[in-house]
Amino acid sequence: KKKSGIYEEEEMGKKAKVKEECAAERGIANDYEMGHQAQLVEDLIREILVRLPPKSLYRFRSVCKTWLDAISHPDFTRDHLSRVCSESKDSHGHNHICLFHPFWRAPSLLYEERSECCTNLDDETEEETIIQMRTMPLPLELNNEQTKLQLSGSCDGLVLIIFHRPMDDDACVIISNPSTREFKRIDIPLPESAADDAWGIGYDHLNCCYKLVRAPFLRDDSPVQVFSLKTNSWKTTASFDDFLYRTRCSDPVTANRCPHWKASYRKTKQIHIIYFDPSQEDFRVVPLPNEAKDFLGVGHPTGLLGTLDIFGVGGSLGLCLNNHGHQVSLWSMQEHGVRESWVKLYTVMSNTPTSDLVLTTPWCIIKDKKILFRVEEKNAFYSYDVKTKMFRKVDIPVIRNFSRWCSDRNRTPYIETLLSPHHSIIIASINNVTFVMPTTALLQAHFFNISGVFTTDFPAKPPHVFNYTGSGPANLQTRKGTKVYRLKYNSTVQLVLQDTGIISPENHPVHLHGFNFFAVGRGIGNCNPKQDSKKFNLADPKYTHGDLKWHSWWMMAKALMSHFCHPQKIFQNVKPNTGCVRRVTEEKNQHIRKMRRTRCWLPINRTLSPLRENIKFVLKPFVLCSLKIKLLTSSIGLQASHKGFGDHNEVFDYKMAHQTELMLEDRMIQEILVRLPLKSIVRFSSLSKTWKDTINYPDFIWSHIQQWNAPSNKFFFALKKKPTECSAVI
Amino acid sequence: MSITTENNEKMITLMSSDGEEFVVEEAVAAQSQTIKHLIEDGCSTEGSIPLPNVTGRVLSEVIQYCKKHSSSDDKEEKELEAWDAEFVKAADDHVALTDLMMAANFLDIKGLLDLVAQTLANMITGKSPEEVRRMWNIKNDFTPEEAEKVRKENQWAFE
Repeated sequence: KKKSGIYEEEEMGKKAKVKEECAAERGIANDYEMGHQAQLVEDLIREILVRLPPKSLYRFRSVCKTWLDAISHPDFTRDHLSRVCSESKDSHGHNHICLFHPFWRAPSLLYEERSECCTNLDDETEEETIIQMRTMPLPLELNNEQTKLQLSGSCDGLVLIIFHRPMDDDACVIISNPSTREFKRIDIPLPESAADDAWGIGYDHLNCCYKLVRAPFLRDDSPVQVFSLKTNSWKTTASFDDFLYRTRCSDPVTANRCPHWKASYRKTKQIHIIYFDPSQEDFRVVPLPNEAKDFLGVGHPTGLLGTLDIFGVGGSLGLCLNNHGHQVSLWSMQEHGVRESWVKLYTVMSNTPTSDLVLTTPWCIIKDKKILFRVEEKNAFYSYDVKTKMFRKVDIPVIRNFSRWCSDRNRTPYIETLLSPHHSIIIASINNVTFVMPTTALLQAHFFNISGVFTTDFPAKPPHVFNYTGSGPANLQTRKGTKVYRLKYNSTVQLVLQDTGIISPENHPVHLHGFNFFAVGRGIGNCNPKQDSKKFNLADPKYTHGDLKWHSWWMMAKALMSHFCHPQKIFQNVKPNTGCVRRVTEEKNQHIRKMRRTRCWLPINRTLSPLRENIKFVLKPFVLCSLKIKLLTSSIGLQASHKGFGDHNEVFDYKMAHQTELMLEDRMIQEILVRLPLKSIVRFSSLSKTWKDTINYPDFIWSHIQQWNAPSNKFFFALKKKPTECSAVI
Repeated sequence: MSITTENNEKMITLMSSDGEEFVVEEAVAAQSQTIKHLIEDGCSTEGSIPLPNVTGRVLSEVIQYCKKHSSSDDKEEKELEAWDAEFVKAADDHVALTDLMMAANFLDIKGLLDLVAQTLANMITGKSPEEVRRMWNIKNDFTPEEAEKVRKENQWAFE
């Protein structure tokens, strides 16, 4: 008990004593002597981890490799998200609030930090509840008070921030996950009056991506714009119901992963709740309960009995029927879009024994128990306890002096997830350009002077310079386009191919289509044109049309361009991940898996294909080759020779193989085999049935892939490089 | 060995790894999906069901939980919640909880697994990686450089 005893004293303090008594009572003291320590099975680690908040998870990445792998796995993010979502649905609440820092010069995002272990608002002992906020600086410059900055809702933990500086028409959107302190900046194509439009963030179930929507409710001439985080591109949709709706205070509420607004119908001025469906990319109207009828203003903003507003209730839409501030009834739509599923959750009366407050729409419901209100005339926040029906003042120390500033558009509730705002797929690119295959051949377009097929603005230098072998930037801002670089006839071109290795270091075979080039130099790390050019081999460089080995290095090639060819074409045969912009996302992994299945990857990666049918395909050429080879297996001290070889009835030295098996257990065979290169494996598949079965066993392929990916990583670490980014410089 | 009591309730005998035997009602034992399947397969008729992965002490706790949860189906949820809280509080030792969790995993009792996992999660939320390593005797298999790198990447989480 010694070891854990010391630990408990440190950690639990007073509890240790109680615990010892407990342990004695249960008679377990004997079990937990020094030798017996708790051990966790791997399955159970996950069970515990999915229940932790992101901050703890980020800290626990450094516990051990197993934990790091478990937390970094894309499936884990998804499981964690679904867990948090279901939790917030069960408890009707978001548990966190996000605010803007009111200091203009250094904009920062304030987010609530749940003191790990217990929720702030659960503390009953204090007279005032205190919400502690943490700050996260934002990469924005605000130089005057005209700058508009607003929070426009959140979806699955991703908070949407709109920034607009009217002076120089600088506008952008920032998507941030306060829980993981990540953010992504997105430029807006039409910056004018960006802050006046309605913005929202939602999830497209069909395409599995998050989308932003910009709806100009107040302007007739502008289209609706949609940004997809998956493709990283803007799109214009015109289906805005002929601009039938208008809204002024368009504070969006994200429910059912769609942004909702309160808007008035143009003709009748009647209030409607509309939402944007990210999957269909159109606007729809939410049916309201019959009780809400008297709150719908026709002709004027307030209805007969009071006002109506919306808010988020743990992932679903909440409706607040406010009876002139005296009484507020809160509703929740259990099934999105179904009128009958509206359920009344609570009724809050302002006239309680302790207070007399004018109520507004609640900010959020916290953990099924407290409803957070902001009371304008008192300029303060109050939490309402559902059980005791009492109001308590809530203090947020950071904004104590600025609470008047905390208008609706500067706060949003969110949930804590691990989701990254860099929700993009890997797109292979060179100098941040992804080649789009044109329908008209490029040379044809050039020859016949057909315009509009390509543009000649391919960047000669990388637009975003960063440490290629270090950790790359969060977003490389890859653009799509059929861009070419026009060269003069007979000009000499110097190419620098800079590898990075976003996922893992790889060999990048290059082939210059139709030309030969001199490989004048190569080196490790980032290419330094001044320093490295001194070491060029200008006397007898290799003259070739392709080079198969430039691996985590840079390579310099000089070629005489004697006929027309565009740079993308040069690298046509380059493996798909050369010069890629990558982020670790779900899609990425699917994408990679897909790529791995393609045949071209196999010989390069020196791994067997995971697909059964491909094995034959891969094995075949090698097997035929091995007929001619006298097998020398020096690596494991074995020798096997072929006497004949045909179909599957191989005739080979069984005696030799038999002896081997006396020494090697099946398990050992696999251990050795996974460490061998593909060629040897194929060779050894003819060694014995056991060996062949071991090799053909599907799991073997996977362990082989893992085994062969691992050493190259080690090599990479030894070079003190991060496998992060790939880019090529031309 | 199945005994039928006066209430016509079938009784099941469970045997822990250290040979301790527990006689429980079938409904209680069937909270565990593993035992339920064993019963369906007819293992219970030939004698006691051996549970080689669970010690007697842990099994007694598991049975305590199953009894409470099988008998209080109609009772108020809140009462059950309070009982659950007390239950894990009594085992407020990560070693005991880990054993309980492994047993819950082996016996496939979803409610108990959820309860214990949440308790353990709450326990380690605020802790440092070193403390967690000590808790479960996890070997730090990072090289110093790797450890430095991982830690640097997630520096904010340590603040």
